[in-house]
Amino acid sequence: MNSTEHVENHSKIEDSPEPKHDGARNIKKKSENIITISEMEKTYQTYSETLNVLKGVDFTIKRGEVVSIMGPSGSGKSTLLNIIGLLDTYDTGKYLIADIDTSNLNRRQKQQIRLTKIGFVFQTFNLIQTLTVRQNIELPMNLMKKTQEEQHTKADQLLTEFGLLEKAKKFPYQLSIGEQQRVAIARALVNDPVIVLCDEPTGNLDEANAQIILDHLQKLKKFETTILIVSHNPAVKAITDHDYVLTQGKIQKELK
Amino acid sequence: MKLIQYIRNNLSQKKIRTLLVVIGISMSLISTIVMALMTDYYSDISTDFFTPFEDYNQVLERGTNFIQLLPVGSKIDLNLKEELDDHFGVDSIPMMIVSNSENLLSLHTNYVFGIPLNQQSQLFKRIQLREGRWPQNSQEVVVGDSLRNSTEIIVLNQTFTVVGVLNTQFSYLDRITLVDHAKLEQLSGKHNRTTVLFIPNDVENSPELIESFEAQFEAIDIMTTEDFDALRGDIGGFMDNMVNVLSFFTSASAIVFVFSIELLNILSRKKDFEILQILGTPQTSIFALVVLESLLLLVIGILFGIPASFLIYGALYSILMITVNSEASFFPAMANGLQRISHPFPFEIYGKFILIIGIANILFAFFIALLGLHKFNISHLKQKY
Repeated sequence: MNSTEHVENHSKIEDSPEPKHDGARNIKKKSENIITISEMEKTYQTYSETLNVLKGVDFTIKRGEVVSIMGPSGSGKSTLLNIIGLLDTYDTGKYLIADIDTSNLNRRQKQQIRLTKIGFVFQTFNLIQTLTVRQNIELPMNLMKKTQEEQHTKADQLLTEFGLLEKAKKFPYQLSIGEQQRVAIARALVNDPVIVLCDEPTGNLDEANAQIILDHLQKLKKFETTILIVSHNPAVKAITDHDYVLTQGKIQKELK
Repeated sequence: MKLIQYIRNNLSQKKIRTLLVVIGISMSLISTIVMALMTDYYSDISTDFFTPFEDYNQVLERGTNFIQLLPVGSKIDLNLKEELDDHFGVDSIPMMIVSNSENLLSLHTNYVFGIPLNQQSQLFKRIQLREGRWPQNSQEVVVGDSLRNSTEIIVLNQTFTVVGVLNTQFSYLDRITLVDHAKLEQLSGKHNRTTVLFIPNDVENSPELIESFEAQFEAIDIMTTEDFDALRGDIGGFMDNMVNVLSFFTSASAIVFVFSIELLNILSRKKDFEILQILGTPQTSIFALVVLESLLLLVIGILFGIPASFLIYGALYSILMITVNSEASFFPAMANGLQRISHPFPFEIYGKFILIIGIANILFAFFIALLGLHKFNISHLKQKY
């Protein structure tokens, strides 16, 4: 797939009608901020204590930016990522994704936003083991009710881009972990999300495979794909526009 | 990719899981159906068992409310009929010869008189001998408990030596006498027949007559139809209860089994559900996938279960036949068993249990899918902090 095709595909998000929720109309305005978080707080109640995991987090991610969040274990990185991915809720503050206020979304609306606006890349890949590489990539498109032809065409483009065309009929367990992560990234991109959330995308990979994955993520920059990476790997900084550090529930921007 | 491919891949990729679920559903169906067929069979046997001869019910319907047969081999022989008639002051129905030996060998009846010597010990394995031994030649017999004091028994004017006493559980079997079948045929001149004596209703209203008769013929304990029917009712009721209890527990076990299978099947795909939810799959689609897959597995399980239950029933039947008839061999007996359930085919039993297992399976699939969607939420895949 050439870059022109990718840009064309990517632009479909903005152009295609999205009647399911108000946010889709807002995307047409090409809002600069994809993620806007202000004064976000989140606490967890354990058996013995109340943990203030996020204590007034403020930050934004603009369209096409690649941003990393780093921090020690237990600092709240994954919680923040889960909230941004609408997998978790926050207690106070405000969170907008593509100008959609997430505070009052019901489960169905969240599910629809996850499907249409967010791509997920997990440390453990989370591929469905009984589906082939192609089927894993096509799955989110099926959920978007895209035709078989559209699914095949788009899957072929991504399989080619990620060097997986020959592995299309293989099952995840037949792939190396680096290949599995590439499938996961391809799946995350298949519905042209407004943001791709990567939770330790290189965490399970060796140095060589981690570099391949970072190279692929870097390629996405030129297609204006917005990417948020939560990682311990300092090598991630090589591809990011901004880096944040989350410590003790507070987020701070690092100077590049 | 169509979502249905997820089901197809799931079934084909996880072969052992699919096989186990199909076997589980089939086994549930097989166990309930085989149990139902066996209990139905034993219910038939018990009905036969407590019907002393083929025409017993018809005889009762005709109004000849007569009492128990008096077995060949008791001290009553044909010459005693006149003596009996004199004693009761009525004309008894002449002694009848009723079929039993043939039925006995196929377990259709229970009132046993003429049995080949080499089969007696097998046929009465459960009864056991209270004392003595099994006959070794056609001049020897074993008798019921009430005849235990006799050293010799006269059957059709032929004297037999009593060599063993049966340890029976039912009083009327106490009066049983086992004679070599070939010898019985030879003596009676009739195949598969033995002697039964009817005594008129009137006698039942004259207990003193019965008592005096019994006093005169100590070896004979006359049983009225009333007594006999009461006994038949009690034991028949016991059999019915046993059938119901077995049927209930088998069905309950099968249902619990199906539930466990469904639960394990869905639990094993917990992560898939969570990934599907994270990717934005509507819960209704996941729910439909689970139910559709359960339906598919149910159909496959039933398709395997029907012929398997048929064969297993046939095999069990043949094993039972071999235990009661040492001369029986497996395959002919199995063919006999299969023929028995195929003519007529027990549509009612199959329909009933396919429906029970099917409904249970679908209900559980619905329930577990709902539970799964509630419990297997995405919180399991996300990390905290």
